[in-house]
Amino acid sequence: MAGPRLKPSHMALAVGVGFAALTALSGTAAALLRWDDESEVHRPVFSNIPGPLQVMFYVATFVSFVAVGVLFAQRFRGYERGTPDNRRTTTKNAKRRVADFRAGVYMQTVMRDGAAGLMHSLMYFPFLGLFAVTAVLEIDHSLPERAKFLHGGVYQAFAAFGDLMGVLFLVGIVWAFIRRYVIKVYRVRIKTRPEDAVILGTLFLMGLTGLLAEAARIALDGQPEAERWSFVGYPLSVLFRNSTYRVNDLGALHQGLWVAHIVSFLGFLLILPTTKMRHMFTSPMNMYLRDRERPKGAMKPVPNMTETSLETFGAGVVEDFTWKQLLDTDACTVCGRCTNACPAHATGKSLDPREIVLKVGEVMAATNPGGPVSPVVGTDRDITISSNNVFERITPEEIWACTACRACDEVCPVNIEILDKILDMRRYLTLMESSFPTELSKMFNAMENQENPWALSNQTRAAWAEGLPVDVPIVDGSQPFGHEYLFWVGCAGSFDDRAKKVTIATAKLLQRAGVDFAILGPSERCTGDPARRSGNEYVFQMLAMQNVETLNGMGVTKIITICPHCFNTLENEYPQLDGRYEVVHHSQFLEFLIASNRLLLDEATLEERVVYHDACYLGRHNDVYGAPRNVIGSLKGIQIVEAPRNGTTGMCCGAGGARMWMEETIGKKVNTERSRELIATDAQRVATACPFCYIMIDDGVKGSPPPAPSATS
Amino acid sequence: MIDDGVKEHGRDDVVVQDISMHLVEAIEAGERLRAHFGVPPVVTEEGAADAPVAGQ
Repeated sequence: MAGPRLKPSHMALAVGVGFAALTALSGTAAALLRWDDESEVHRPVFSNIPGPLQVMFYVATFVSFVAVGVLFAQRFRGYERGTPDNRRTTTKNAKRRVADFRAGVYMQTVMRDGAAGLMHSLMYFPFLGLFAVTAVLEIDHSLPERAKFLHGGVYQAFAAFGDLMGVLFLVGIVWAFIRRYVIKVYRVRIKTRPEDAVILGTLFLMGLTGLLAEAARIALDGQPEAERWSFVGYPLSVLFRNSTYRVNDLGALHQGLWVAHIVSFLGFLLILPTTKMRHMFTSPMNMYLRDRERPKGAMKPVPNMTETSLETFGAGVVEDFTWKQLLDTDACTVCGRCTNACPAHATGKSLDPREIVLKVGEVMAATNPGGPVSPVVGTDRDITISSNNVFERITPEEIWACTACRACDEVCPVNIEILDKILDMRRYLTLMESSFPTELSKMFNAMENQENPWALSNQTRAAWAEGLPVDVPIVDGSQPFGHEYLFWVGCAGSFDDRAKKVTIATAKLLQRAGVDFAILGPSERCTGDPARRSGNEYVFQMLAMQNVETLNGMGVTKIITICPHCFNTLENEYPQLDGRYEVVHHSQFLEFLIASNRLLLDEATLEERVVYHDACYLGRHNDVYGAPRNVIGSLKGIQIVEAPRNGTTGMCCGAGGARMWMEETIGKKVNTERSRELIATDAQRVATACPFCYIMIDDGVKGSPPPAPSATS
Repeated sequence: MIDDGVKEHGRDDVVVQDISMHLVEAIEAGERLRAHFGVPPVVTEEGAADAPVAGQ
């Protein structure tokens, strides 16, 4: 019979106890062996600190480390409530995992936001430096005299380094204070809690008392010349000893400051697991555990809905989330970058991605096995949580406001998977509670009955091709596919009058370049993307399985599509159903045709200013940013400008996540806001690479007020 | 967003189009210009490179 399985919570406890044991061992060894450094220039340890205080220091540190281990273990038990999620390190993904981890510990992702990144780095790197200084001092303290190394020039360099780290650390803390309490940056201000002052105060006290205690020690020792390398402590010691502010009882001053330093350090140990400071450990761990098997654009797979014995789908209670999704909540640094990036939040909807993470964490913390633990951040006392159901804190309005644009995931510096949680909750609401916006029921019915969300007869899917100067071959789904490329038109391109223009333009370009392609016509069905993103896995699977059966049966291998949503589903999600094809977006294919001189643009000129609007499902979901720009940039005379939010930070048009089929009654309209940004570039043309973006931005631009007449006109 | 018909008082000085539409418009305008001046058409070349694959 197998023994008890070692769980992460056991390991957290073991690490805490391990640190405590090391501290005790180090203290005991130093006290018993008394290996003192007799060098003239060295760092005396515990000079002027009475024996009982030394013992109290080691005992308090021992107890605190054990407490840290116990408190972290309690939190880890919360993550263990989650469902399995394979985040194993394999030989295939180890290198990328280490790179993700390194990005975390090197602050690479935090530094994407210049000012905040620099501020955070000023706290973080000097903190590591000061931790190293303390560890080196303790190691040297525990070594026999012959092995001691912290003396002479080495000690002087060590002292200078320690002071430099101390000063930089304090600069970082003061900067953080100013950002939070003076400048009051929006994303920081709206989530500032009393504990933030406690955290910053504790860190500040720890840094300040460290430098002051050093100064008092130097003053007490008579300001030896060798201590001049302590370029902060030494001048301060002059203040204590020689100035009008001199202190008569330097011994008492030093002891008082030393005790204050130790108390602030012990306080730091205790806020580590109980406040968001825990992110020092959980964030790099979370980055290391990033999903390396599933493409960014793919939703989590669900077993075949008609065969599975699963009784619940999606996430409604804490135990429905995966352990990684629960760990995510504790990895949150509450920085609010996701809040700033969210188009729903920016237009006045109730959704704030950060709140989704924090609220799941709140419910997890309140219902933790063995008693509640502190929430991710402090909450109002009036808020009570009586069960493990996350909808006690999260409203359906928040969940349905999401455009699934992935801006939150992309900007998160610690790789929290926010969109996955929202989509899992949508699955729960739709499949388990039949709770979704009423407009979606029409879309679901249309997708089930007409095989497209436009509710038009699927038999008219190829109607756009009628009357074109050149015939577009249509292959029936029951026949073998005898062409090189399948042109997957998608529902928008087949049924929406404006999007049909995209289809026709692409067909013309393919024909012009001599590409051997055909369409499926009525044999093509919706890929199922809007159903899946609105939680209806049943309708998604119904359509996707039929499509895969058709494509596999016909022997289709290469697909071109104009729709980034179709592109994402065919490329990233159909492999979950054994549909594996080489899929290219038309922007990529046009880029290839132009680069290989199959599509000649020698005479094509467009002397206008053009701004390109990034499609979320092409950009953030699939990292295709260059191809559309290269295509439009191939035209002679064109001037390309960028919107303020572009590339990875591009703003959604508002149609993703099935929002295309939902009313937008709260706040401002996302497409109008985005269109205003695009218009503000003074571009004469807007280029899109997604039929949904085209429709939304065209509406947004047309709905924007006309330019004010100039004084001369 | 469900179509709410708010399009009547818009900005028609800004043209919104898919990249393919901009391309076709520019190509066809060039061809009309060429036809106007009676210049022979450009012959399309078959490329030798392999087609792109998603993710590459």
